[in-house]
Formats: sequence, structure tokens, C-alpha cells
Amino acid sequence: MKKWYCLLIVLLILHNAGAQDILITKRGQVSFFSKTPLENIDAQNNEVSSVLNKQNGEIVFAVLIKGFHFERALMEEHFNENYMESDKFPKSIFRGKVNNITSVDIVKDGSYAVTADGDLTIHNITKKVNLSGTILVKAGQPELHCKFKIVLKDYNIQIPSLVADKIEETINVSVDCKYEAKK
Amino acid sequence: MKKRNLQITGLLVLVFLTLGATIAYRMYNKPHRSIENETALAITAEELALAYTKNEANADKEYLDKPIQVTGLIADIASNQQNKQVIVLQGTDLSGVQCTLDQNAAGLKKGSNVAIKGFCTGYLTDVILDRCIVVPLK
Repeated sequence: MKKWYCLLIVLLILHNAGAQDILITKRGQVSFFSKTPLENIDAQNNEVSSVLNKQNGEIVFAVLIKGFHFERALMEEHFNENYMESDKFPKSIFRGKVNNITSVDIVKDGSYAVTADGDLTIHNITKKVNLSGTILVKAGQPELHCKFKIVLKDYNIQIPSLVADKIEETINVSVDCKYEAKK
Repeated sequence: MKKRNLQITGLLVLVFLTLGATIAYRMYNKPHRSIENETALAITAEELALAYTKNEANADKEYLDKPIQVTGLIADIASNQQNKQVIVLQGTDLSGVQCTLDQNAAGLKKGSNVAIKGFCTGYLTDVILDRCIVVPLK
């Protein structure tokens, strides 16, 4: 059943609100970064699907693990096979609520600090998280920027002991999405 | 005689070390899969979207991470935040097939037919293919 959640929630949100209240993107960006003594771990995904209800603040992000691309093919392979097990767990999802959506004037250019509470699912493990970020409205187009850290062992992502001292236990994640009004 | 044996052993060790190091280096630097060299599974955008809307787990078994050549009608042409071209093919009422191109292609038009080859990364609201190229229609 889990596989339907993402779509179902997106549909529910779309259904519960007038179309004019819904901002969407299917091409947002999520990247992560970690500095190691050997080399930096750096990957990017440009097919992030997100829905933001600007009336009540409900927000969903969904991202496919196999869509993260690294500079090194070998690193990408290890990320998928050894760390994220992306054949078994192909996606990550955040669903939550922007707490102070009413303070954001989505049609007026400006920068608005926001926080969101919700559930983050990575590697099939769901944790409550509190994120803070910025909604930036530029020439009428809203963008969301958010940086947060995840601790690998919170999500049961195991680092082989051989490289354990070379990989940081926390990874920096950035979310950058440009939204459009739902047509 | 003994000295000679030692020399040969030394030489062999050196050869193996060099070989090992070369292989390790090659693996470390191995290139990304290129869709151009892959034999792709041929399917229409409608069939692919239908397979995913019906049963995502089964469709993943069949298509996830596989090279796929999908044909269909262009529903939308957009670009992502990295300015790469993204083509959405018409699928079912619910879901389409979204293809991120490796290199931007000229001469694509909304409503026309196209064949696109890429790797399937899974399903969100659309089926997603990336590292795609446009294949000339026969």
C-alpha cells in the first residue's frame, strides 16, 4: 500500500483545495554534500516533485533515489547498492506543514523565513523533523530554499567499517524548488 | 640460481601490483553508463504509464534502472532548474512519462511524435526517465 501514499496524498491535497491555492513543481532540486578526507561526496537530483498549498501550508516533497547523480559512477553505484538500497526503497518523501504560511505574501516579491514540521522518510524509515527555510518570491514566482542535516544512523544507513572513519555521520541536504501555479 | 628465482618472483610481484593498481584505478574512474550504447526495451509512453499506475512494485521490477526506449506524443516541453530540456510524453489521464534530456534537442514540437531513450528512475506522479537522448523516428 505504501507505494500509493505519495500519489494519494498529492491527489488529496489537490482535491481539497481550489486549484489557485496549489503550487507545484515536478522539476525541483535536491542535493546533498559531505566533506571527507578522501574526496567530497556530492550529488544532485533535478526531478523532485513537490506540492505546496499556499492556503493551509501543507507541503509534500518526493524524490527518486536513482535520480541522484554523482560525478563518479562508482560512487553512484555504491550509494544505490550499499547505502540506500534503492532497488528496495526507490523513493524518499517529506510531508508536513509550513507553520507560518499566513506570514507569506505569495504574490509579493520578497524573502520570507518559514519553518515546517513533518515526517521525513528515507531508506524506509520515517522520522519527525522540523525544517527551516526561506520562501523567496522573485518576479511573482515563488521559490523554496531549505537546508538541513540528516544523521545517517537515524535512517539505518550503514557505513561499511572499512570507510567508517572517512565518511561523516551527518550529510548536508539542500532543497531548492521553483514553483508554478497549478493549471 | 637462487638469485634468479628471487628476481623472477620480484618481477611477478611488480607485474601483479601494477595490474591491480591499474584495475583499481580504472574501476574508480569508470564512466557513467551511456544510453547510446545500451539496447533499450521498447515501449509506448501509454503502456509504461499504465504499468506504473496499475502496480508500481511490479513495474519497478520490470523497468527500474533499465534502459528504455519510449515512444509517444509530446504533451509538454520544459526545462529544469539546470536548464536541461525536459520532455513530458502523454501517458494515462493520471500520469505521463517525464524525460530529462542529456543534451538539449532542437525541432521538438508539442503534439508531435517522438522516441526517447533513457534510464528509468521510477515513479512519482509521472514515470521518470533521465540521461535521455532523442532517437530519430523510423
